[in-house]
Amino acid sequence: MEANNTVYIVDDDPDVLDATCMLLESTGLQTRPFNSAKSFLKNIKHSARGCIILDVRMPNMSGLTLQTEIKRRKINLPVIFITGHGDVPMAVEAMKNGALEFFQKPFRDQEFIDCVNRALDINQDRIDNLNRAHSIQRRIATLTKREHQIMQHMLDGHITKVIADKLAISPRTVETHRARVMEKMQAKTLAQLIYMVIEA
Amino acid sequence: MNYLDLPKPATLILDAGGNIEHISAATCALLGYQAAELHSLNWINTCVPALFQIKTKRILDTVLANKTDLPEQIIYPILGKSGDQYLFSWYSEPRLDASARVIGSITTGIAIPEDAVKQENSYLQTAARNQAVLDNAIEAIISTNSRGMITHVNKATESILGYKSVELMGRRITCLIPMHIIRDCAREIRTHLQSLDTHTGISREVSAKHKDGRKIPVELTVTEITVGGTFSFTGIMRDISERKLSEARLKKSKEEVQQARDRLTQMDRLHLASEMSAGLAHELNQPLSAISMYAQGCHNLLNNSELDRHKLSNTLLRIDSQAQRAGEIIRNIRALMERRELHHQLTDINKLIHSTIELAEEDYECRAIDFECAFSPALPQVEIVYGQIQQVLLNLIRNACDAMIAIPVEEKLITISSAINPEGFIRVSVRDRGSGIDEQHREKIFQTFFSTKQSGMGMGLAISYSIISSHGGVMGINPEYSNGAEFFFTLPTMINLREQSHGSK
Repeated sequence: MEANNTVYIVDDDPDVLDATCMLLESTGLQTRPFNSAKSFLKNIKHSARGCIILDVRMPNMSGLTLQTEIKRRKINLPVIFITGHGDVPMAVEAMKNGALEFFQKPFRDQEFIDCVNRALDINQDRIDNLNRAHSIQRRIATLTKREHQIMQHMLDGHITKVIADKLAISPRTVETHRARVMEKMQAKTLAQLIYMVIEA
Repeated sequence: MNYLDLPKPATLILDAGGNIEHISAATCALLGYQAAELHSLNWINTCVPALFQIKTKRILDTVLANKTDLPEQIIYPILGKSGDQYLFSWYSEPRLDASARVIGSITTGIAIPEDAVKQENSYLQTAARNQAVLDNAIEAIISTNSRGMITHVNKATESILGYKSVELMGRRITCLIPMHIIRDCAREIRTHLQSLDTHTGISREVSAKHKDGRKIPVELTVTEITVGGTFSFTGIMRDISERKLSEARLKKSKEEVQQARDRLTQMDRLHLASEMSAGLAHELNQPLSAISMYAQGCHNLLNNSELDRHKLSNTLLRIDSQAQRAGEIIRNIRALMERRELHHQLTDINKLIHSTIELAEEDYECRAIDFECAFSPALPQVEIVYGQIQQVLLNLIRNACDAMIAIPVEEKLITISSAINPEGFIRVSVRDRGSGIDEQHREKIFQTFFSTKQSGMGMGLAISYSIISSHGGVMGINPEYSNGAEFFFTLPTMINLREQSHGSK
């Protein structure tokens, strides 16, 4: 999993591209350089994990246009911008478009490295959340129709007696179903159950 | 037989159709008619000369309509059987029956003595001449009485405003010109009356209403005429639609020229500063960023538990090559600047100042500002790069405009003087009436990136300073002038340059 966390770097200046890779690799990160937006788009996979660093000023397709394209393709990786000539409107547009940070050259390398690490954390969290949501959904899928019904009532905050009345079954039966729901969902408390369902 | 010696009033009674019911015997005799001859004849057609028929008819109509604002006494001649004319002053009133219906008019006339008639004849000639002038004028000329009722219009009125003269007679002037403009004119006229300048016409551009409802731009001049205590107004309207149209076209093309010029000067001004510094910054930023990242990377490598010597050495070499790349960029720029050849030309500095003022006056910010020139005549010529010195002067003028932004328009003044100083250099100074320059800023004001303006780049004066220096002159602030700021620069003349070269031999 960790091996898949890659910093994708797109910059048309080969020296800067090389230096960026070298810097990030020196801190133990895995990098993958691209010298154009086109080659990046050709090679990036939907399952990619990590983050993206884009140079704003590039021939053919600028960093801002590439960012829009990445978004359009639903490649859900944090984007960090680097620019040689920072201007406010450009930065605003990039941030509005969901960029994580906008660095103006020359920048403080440590801040840059910290930001890249933050981007990787954000992506990792996103993946973890996604995984958790998937597992919760899998658990929900194991519930029987009746258990599902009981869980809905539980989430609505109804006590056993009320649920029994509503479903015209005995409170004892409700108690049994409740225990099964908690067991299948691997929830220790009602609050945990609610939190899980919200997350899913 | 001289009836005019007997100031008998003529009495005239007309029916509602303007036909004679009764005319006094003496008048009948004067005109050479038997009393019965005139009975039931139309008064105006029979006894009024053709020239006066329209006017008389209008007055009679007013009387028969029993309007409250009856005309004052009016003077017109009547026609004898033999064709002789006799001048009378007339006054008419409507005749009413028991139910207050108008059944005709009663008019009394006082004969005006013969010498007065002679005068009147010459008056009539003048009037005819004036009429001819009025009718041939290309302007619409409209007279009103003191209450704004139209009493006369000329022929051009029809071609400009679409109304025939009979359509306008007796109507109020407000059907042509909006009331508020009339009021403004009236107010101005009153102001002028107070200053005893009674006949001054006041001209202004207004829009008049054409018969078909269109608005016609006209230049309106209103003149007030007082005769015997009663006053009337004459308005002269010149159709300026054509002029307006060409003005609009001219304005548009001027604006386009201005925009182009703005772009040019903008580019010119920013060329050295913004364009170059942005380009330069980007170019230099690339190797600098690379160096910075490589260096940090090396630092990280050294901190790692296992030292990858090969990688470290490799990276250090790359740092070196990036530094070389940066040096190359700077060398290229130097070479570029040195290659720029500048064309020096002999110039009359006063002409340059004039053309620069013209250029500046088209600038929006400088438009409202007065320029005053104090030139020494017949100055020796200077050999300069014309565009550069113009740029310096324009920059000083713009700064002067900016400095006076907060003072009232009528106080805004830029004084530009040229003179020859004791050393034989031409000295040009630009004086404003702004807030002046703080003592503490005087030292720094010519430095790059120093600006007291909010949006200033701090390039203008710095560039100006270097241009003047490269011409062999000096630039500075006159510390003795305290009513604003005075910047000056000097330029060597041909004589100075010759002396210099002699001195060095």
